[in-house]
Amino acid sequence: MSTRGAQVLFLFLCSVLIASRPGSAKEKITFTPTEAGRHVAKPESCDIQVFKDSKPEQTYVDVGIINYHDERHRAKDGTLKLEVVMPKIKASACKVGGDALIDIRVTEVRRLEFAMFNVRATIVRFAPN
Amino acid sequence: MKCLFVGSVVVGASACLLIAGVTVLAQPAGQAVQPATQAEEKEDASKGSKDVDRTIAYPMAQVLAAAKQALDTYGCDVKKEKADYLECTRDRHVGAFVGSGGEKVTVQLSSKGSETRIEIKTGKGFVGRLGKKNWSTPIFDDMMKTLKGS
Repeated sequence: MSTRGAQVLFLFLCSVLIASRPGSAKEKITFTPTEAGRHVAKPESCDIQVFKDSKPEQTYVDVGIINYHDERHRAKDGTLKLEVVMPKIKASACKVGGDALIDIRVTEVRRLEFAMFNVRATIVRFAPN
Repeated sequence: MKCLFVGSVVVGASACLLIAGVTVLAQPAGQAVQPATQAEEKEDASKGSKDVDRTIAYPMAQVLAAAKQALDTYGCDVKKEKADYLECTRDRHVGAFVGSGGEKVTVQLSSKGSETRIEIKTGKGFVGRLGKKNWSTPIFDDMMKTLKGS
């Protein structure tokens, strides 16, 4: 093979690397219900209370556990923050008819090129008075 | 001649990797990279992680539920699930240099009276091994946190 062949191979390798768009990832939101039965959805913009280090004073029932997971290249990890993620979690909590989020746990791992960000919370519904 | 060709391919590939790396690092126009002071950079959870074989004082059903949550926390999608066994795989992410993900984690449970023996193993396979890591210890720790809190 000639120098021409080497050039073609070089361009091919570059195109493969660039086309693979390193670090592109999709966020994943999963919900695991803890109680049986259907949930009455609320509008996505409903009001969800957040209890970070405390529990609601009202009586409540657990609706389920919501898990937000995202993993991306460290050059694009600017959005891996709780304040950025929280509106998405709240919107999901509305969909399953929740009133509040409790037991919020944030897990963050950064190593080499990638950053992993995970938020787990329990969605609760207040018991009617 | 052959030597010249091999040399040019090696140099070309290295240059290509460097260009791709720089491109990626320079990519996020408008997306601020977290400043060092603001970043709550946690220590790499998988540092020093090893496969786990422990017996804990919780019933098997409770351990299984907590293990599933822990696997979710570390982005491991459960592919096989039995009453005493879980198997999951982490999504693979292509990077400019080493990438990340692709590890397979298995959780084997066995009942010992009121206690449960738990074995967590991380399989790294062969492809992209450099970017893979052992997740067994952080998964076990997360699971124990859930069990203690319940």
